[in-house]
Amino acid sequence: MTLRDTKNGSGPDNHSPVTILVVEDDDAHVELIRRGFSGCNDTVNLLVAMSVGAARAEIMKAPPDLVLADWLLPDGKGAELITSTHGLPEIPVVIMTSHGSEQIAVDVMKSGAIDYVVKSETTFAEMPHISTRALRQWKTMRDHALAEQALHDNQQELELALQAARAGVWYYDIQNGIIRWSKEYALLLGHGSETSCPDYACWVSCIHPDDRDLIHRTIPKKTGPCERDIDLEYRIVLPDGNIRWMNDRGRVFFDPTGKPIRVLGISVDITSRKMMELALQQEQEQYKNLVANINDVIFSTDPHGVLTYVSPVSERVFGVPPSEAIGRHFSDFIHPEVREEVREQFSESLHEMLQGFETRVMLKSGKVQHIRISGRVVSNNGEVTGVTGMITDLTERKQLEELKVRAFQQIEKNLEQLAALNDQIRNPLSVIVLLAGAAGGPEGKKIIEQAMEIDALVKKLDQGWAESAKVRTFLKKHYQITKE
Amino acid sequence: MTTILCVDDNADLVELLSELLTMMGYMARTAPGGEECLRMLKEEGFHPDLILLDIMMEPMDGWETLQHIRKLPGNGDIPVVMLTGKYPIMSEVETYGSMIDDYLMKPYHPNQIDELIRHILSRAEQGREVIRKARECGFDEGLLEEYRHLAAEVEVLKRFREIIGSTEHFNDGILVKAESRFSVIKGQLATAGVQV
Repeated sequence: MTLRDTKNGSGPDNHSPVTILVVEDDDAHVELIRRGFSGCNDTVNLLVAMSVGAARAEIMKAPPDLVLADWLLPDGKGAELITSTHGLPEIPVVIMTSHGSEQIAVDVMKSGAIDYVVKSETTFAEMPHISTRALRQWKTMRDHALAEQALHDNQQELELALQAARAGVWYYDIQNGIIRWSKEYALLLGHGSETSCPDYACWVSCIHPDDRDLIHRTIPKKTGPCERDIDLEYRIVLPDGNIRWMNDRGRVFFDPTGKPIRVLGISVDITSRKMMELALQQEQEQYKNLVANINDVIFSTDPHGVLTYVSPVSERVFGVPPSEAIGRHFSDFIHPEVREEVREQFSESLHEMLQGFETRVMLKSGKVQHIRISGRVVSNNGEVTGVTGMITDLTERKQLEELKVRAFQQIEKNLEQLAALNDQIRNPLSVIVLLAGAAGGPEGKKIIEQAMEIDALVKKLDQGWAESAKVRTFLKKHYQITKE
Repeated sequence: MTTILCVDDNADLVELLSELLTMMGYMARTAPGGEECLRMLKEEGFHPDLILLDIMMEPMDGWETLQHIRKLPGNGDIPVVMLTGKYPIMSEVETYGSMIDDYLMKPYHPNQIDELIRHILSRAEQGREVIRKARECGFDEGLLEEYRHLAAEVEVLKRFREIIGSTEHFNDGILVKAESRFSVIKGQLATAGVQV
């Protein structure tokens, strides 16, 4: 290695000569040092200062790469030139003394000098070598300090990231059963800032009893096969009894024989997400129950009318379970007589709201059911993606309507029969009265009186009939019954 | 001689009625139903002075027969009396009250039928007399036609009220309306010196 190779930094500057500031008040010594560097004129730029003050002025002008300073100078000590930032000297300084002593050596090294040499002719001749060594050492120190700083910064960044993500890291020594975790994980466990638990069993004790089995099954044992990657969701029980959901992802490391030796994991608090998932799940469950328990069928189709969803009660209407209905065109279930018409109605409805309409379906058994279909066109960015709607089974309603009409027809029939009956009774009565009237006399009068008594009874029936006729009119008006 | 057409699907009754009417001095003919009645009027050109019409008949009932009679050219003004065992209801009163001349419930005494016939014929005669005089005074034909109808309608509505008033609410409105219009016309005629 040459002096130039030891120069700080990198880049084009690397090829410029190394600047060495010699701080020495003895001209003879300066001369001897110059001679020592005489073979390195193209790589070393030697500057000389006779005092601490002059040296400071030189350093202020342009900091040299190395300072070779005498221990004792007219205005102070060479060690005064040593300045440091964060424990790292800004410029490497080698101290030279005329008389070597253990005390001076200790003082020099304490002051932060990078090296200490005792002046002698040999030492002066060795100056390029001493300088190279000092610069190399200083470079190593500097690199080490920078690496330490970077590590410290990285660690701080990691801690910040873990805190922000509500996450922690842990390490499990499988063969020794030792577990360690970051302070963030300890906080998530509710363990204050303790960063280790005595053993695996202690860690498991923090986990919800219902999830411990999952942990036992997933975390590798000392022997036996195991997965390389771990992905776990489990609950921990906090000291106050609250539950916290965690998601752990880990990597298992194996020894050359394939035996698992340790697991490194990152653990994230997913309580909020889990609560949202549970709420959503509950909501979905409620929705599912609602859809399953209403009597109407909820359905959706693609834009061509192929069923993409039907609620469980659809079996009652279509006669097949949802699994068999989904994937078929909805019109497959419509009564063949009206199928084409309903298909056309569906195609037309894709341009607007699907107006409710009544139609019939035919079951496999040939049974005909009356239904009402209503729905809404679903579109995305103006493009029709399907139809969603509801099918109501009208069979029962239709049956009731038919019963109503039949009952009404029966009332009508009874009324007509009663009116006819009264009329028919009055015909023979009329004959009797006319004959008796024509015959005259007390007997005729008596017969007429009897006949009129019968008529009075029939009149009561008439009155009942008139009342029933009023009921019929009422029914007709308020129940929209039309005689078929 | 006054001719009377008896329409009834009860053969015994219609025969007996016909005999009685003959004994009373009328010329009576019978029809067993609405179809035969219309045939006699249309095809035979028979123009009776009065028709006694039953209601409950098959297949054409009395009301339907009545509507056809009223549409027949030249027969539209033949007096028609419904002679029936059927109890009337308000809707029938509203529909047919202005198309008939009387409504007599079976069973009826021979004297009742005689009185009724005399009354109807006399009312028709009086009406004709009033109309003749009014026409001389230059009254509008439409008004005279209305007078003739109202003379019968007011009495028919009173008859219906008498029959059904005890059972269901009789809509007095139509009677009041007919009576007041009839009074107005009678007033107009009286002012002109036509005795009504």
